[in-house]
Amino acid sequence: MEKVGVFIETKDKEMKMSILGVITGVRGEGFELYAFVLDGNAESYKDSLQEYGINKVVDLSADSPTAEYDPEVYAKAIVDACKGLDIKIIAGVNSAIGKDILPRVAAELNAACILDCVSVNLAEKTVVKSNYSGKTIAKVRLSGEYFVYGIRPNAITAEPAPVTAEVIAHKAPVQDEGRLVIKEVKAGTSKGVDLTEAEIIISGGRAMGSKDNYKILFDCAEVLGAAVGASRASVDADYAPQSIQVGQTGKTVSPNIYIACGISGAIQHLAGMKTSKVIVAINKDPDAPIFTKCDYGIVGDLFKIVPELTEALKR
Amino acid sequence: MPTTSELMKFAAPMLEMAQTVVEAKGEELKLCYQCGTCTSVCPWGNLKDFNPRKLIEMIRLGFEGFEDDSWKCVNCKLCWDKCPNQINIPQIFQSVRSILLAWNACPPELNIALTSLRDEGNPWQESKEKRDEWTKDFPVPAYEQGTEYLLFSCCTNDYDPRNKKDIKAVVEILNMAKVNYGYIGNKEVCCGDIALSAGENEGYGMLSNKNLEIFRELAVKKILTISPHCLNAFKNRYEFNEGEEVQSSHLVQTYAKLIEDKVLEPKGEIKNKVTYHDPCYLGRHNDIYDEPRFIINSIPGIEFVEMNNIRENSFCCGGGGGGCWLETVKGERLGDLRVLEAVETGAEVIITACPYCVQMLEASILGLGIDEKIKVRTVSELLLSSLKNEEL
Ligand SMILES: Cc1cc2nc3c(=O)[nH]c(=O)nc-3n(C[C@H](O)[C@H](O)[C@H](O)COP(=O)(O)OP(=O)(O)OC[C@H]3O[C@@H](n4cnc5c(N)ncnc54)[C@H](O)[C@@H]3O)c2cc1C
Ligand code: SF4
Ligand code: SF4
Repeated sequence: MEKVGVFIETKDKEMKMSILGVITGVRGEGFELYAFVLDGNAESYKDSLQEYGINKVVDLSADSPTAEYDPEVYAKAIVDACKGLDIKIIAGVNSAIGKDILPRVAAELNAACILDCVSVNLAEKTVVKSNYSGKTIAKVRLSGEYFVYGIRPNAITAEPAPVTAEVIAHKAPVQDEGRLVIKEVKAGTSKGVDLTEAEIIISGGRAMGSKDNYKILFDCAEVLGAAVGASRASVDADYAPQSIQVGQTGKTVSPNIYIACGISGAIQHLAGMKTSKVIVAINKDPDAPIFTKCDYGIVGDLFKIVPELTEALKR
Repeated sequence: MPTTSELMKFAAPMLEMAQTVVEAKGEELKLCYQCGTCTSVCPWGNLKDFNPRKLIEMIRLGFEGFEDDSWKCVNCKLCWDKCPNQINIPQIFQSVRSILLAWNACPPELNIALTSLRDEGNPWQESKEKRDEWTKDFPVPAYEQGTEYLLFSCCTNDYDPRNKKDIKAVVEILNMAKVNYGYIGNKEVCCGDIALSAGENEGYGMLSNKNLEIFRELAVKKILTISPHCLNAFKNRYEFNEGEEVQSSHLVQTYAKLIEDKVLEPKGEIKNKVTYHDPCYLGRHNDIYDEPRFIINSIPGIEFVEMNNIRENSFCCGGGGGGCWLETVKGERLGDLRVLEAVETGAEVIITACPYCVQMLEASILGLGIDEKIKVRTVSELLLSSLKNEEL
């Protein structure tokens, strides 16, 4: 039996479901599957993992804490487990984290490493990779002692193949050497209603003046059940995240109602929202181009009008 | 350990790539001797790791990894002018783009503009029936057979609220000078420059043929352009038939002549410190450097200062080659560097003569949050302010 180690990506005590496709892709006759769980919750993932053919769930820990993702500690712990358990094949999802961790593991093991595979054949030691944005397909054969595979998320459809798994503990004598310190993890997407699916959007421009001032838009959005958007100039000024930029190079939206607050109406902004059913503009400059594209225009100070609107809607 | 040649075999899955690029009008690819001059002069080098020399070599060897970077080139022509072999490097990228387009591997935001070009004849996703909307309350003479100049307005001037101000200034000046010109309104379609630079050869062919048809139908002899991109398309790219003598010129040339002949006498003082940004398509692509400076210097009261990178060495705003439709993350925008260079001269106004430059530079000014310090005006806006004795 050859052993295969699968790195299980987790976040907030939940397993990334895309790993099930990877497990489906690497299991097969003659292979015994080990799942590496580092966040301390091995037991809670066992049911799902055995459902897809994992034989051993390795509750992997190190001298340093592993509850939070730390690429250095994680990679070294995985390497230690591979050596201790005699595992020579390692697979994972080719996600941002997978791309971070798998090459580190490969480097430590001096393994043949191949990322972004769309399928793997462990017996043949071959993988299929697509190149040139999917126009050519390459079949690549690997040689060596250790093998590391990053498999493209959702490239392989997950299919159950139930077995009974056992949880085993492995403690790696790995210390955090402090070479890498994670100071902050910033969430990428905005909270609340998804912009492209929202029926109502209230957007703020550079006139918002600060990140904090966006609060009046979020307050109004909450009452309206709306999503909040932004112009590029306000994104550039760090008042709002890029993920909510509306426009030519941001999101294209087409809600029932679009409320533009303190947005001048540059052509690139209009490109992203002009197909909205009803456009409302609030701007203190009566000559702002946004007024040529709107159904309802309010000339005035948004800091007065928006809170008043929120209050009126509450009533 | 694998040998180098084994590695090359592994990493070069598509040696046909070079041949495909050559067939797509990129034959000059073969002439490159990898000196690296292009990389050292390319404006992107100031902001990020962008290496035309390496990309050329990757394409020749069929290495992967040139695809995304091939959309970065803004067709500023600096490398082409400096290359010891005079290789048309932007053309190589255009050829690569045409192949990427056929693979559906075009950046989505650019794709939207290209689709709009096909459907509506303009890249701004606006209706073709609304091109002349700005003339409803602002009469512009219509072009008829026998009119001396056809004023080719440019999509960006017809649709962009900011640049509509510029075209209105153009019209006022031409009227004051009693130039015999006319506008064809909704019959105009995009000159096709961005389709061409995006490698969308089919779209370009369609657009250029439509314009050529109209020029022929109306027996046009002289075309007056506002955008240097239209000028370049007509002068250097359009395939006019032999014997068809169509002269294309840029407005700044007309203005300079009118001032020289004293038909236009800018008398109003403009008490601003200004600098001039040479649009790549007006300067390097078409050698027009002196006229705009002559016009600026003819304005009484003005203080004109030059930036460091001017004329043949002008620094691109980032809008050419499809750049106006592509997002560039903050901190990596060419326009930001250009605006900061202008600020350094102490100028309060950047004068320029291209609608894309106006858009890019203004967006950079807003992005940098320095709109209290500096603004952008066109040569036409400057000239009109002086002619009407108004503030710039
Ligand atoms: C390649 C490229 C791509 C771009 N893509 C996008 C894009 O996807 N999306 C986008 O939005 N932009 C985009 N832009 C930028 C665009 O050109 C504009 O710079 C930007 O949209 C301006 O944002 P704004 O309207 O918030 O700022 P401004 O133009 O500064 O407008 C602020 C407005 O607020 C008004 N105002 C000020 N104070 C108040 C107040 N108290 N109450 C009410 N009104 C007030 C002012 O009158 C003014 O009209 C792009 C530009 C380029 C070059
Ligand atoms: S400057 Fe010309 S010859 Fe030199 S590397 Fe660039 S393309 Fe090749
Ligand atoms: S044309 Fe300009 S942007 Fe393009 S590669 Fe050459 S120097 Fe760089």
